[in-house]
Amino acid sequence: MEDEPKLVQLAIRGDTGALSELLRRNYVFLYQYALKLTMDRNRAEDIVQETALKAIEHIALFQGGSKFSTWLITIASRLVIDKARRSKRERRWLTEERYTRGFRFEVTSRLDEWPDAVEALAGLPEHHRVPILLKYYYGYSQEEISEMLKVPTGTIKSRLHAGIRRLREELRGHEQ
Amino acid sequence: MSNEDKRNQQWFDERIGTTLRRLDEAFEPQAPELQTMEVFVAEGKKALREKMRRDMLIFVLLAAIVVAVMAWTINRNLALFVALQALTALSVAGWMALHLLRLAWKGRTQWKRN
Repeated sequence: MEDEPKLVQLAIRGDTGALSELLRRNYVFLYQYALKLTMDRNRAEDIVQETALKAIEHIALFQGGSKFSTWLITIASRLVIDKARRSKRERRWLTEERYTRGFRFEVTSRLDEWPDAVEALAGLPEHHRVPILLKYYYGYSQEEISEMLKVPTGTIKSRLHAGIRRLREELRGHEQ
Repeated sequence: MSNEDKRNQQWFDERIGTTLRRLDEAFEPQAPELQTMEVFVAEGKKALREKMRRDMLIFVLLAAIVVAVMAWTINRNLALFVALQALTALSVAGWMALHLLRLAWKGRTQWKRN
């Protein structure tokens, strides 16, 4: 089995098999990331598919400076934030509520509970949820997140600050 | 990493990270077979090639129409040719001004949101 840098080089040169293998290897990771961002299985699957299509389109531009998985979650993050921004104009509250309710049912049936932590995370707007997950769950630095989302580091810093404060407040509220 | 960062990280790991790891375990899909993925990638590449060919055709057709119209006006009516050139330049300038205004507005609202 080929190692990742070799597969990336082949994929950049147009090798369909290499790109397929890279996408297959990162499928579960990407799906789980998209699920945490969207809190909805159907939307997560859509994001995974759109991310893969973008990767196919732009693979020649991938420099190989970061891990392939990082490149994929960069594409997915931008897709989610763009979609959220666009859907804001289209009665967002109603759809968000429906999506979270469906996901709530599935989580409750698999974990035997609807955890407060997931509820608090679901309550964050996407432009806060994405940097919070990237920093505190996936371990990226503020500078890396800034580069991934094409947003100034200062903005990322303030979003992280606001996001973590809101999470703390939410969870404190649940405890009370 | 600052002390505040460390405190936030520790709090996140304890209060949220553990739950998210359980969530990952509960929602672990089966990765598709390599053959399925190869078909998906091949179809994606094919669709891209077709889109590029279509875009190129539209571009060439539009360019041919513009050149034909310009060639016709320069031979028949010089004043109309100059007016068309001026209109094109004004349209481009207007579009750029609108684009810059939209960017500035976007930056302002983004700043407000933070």
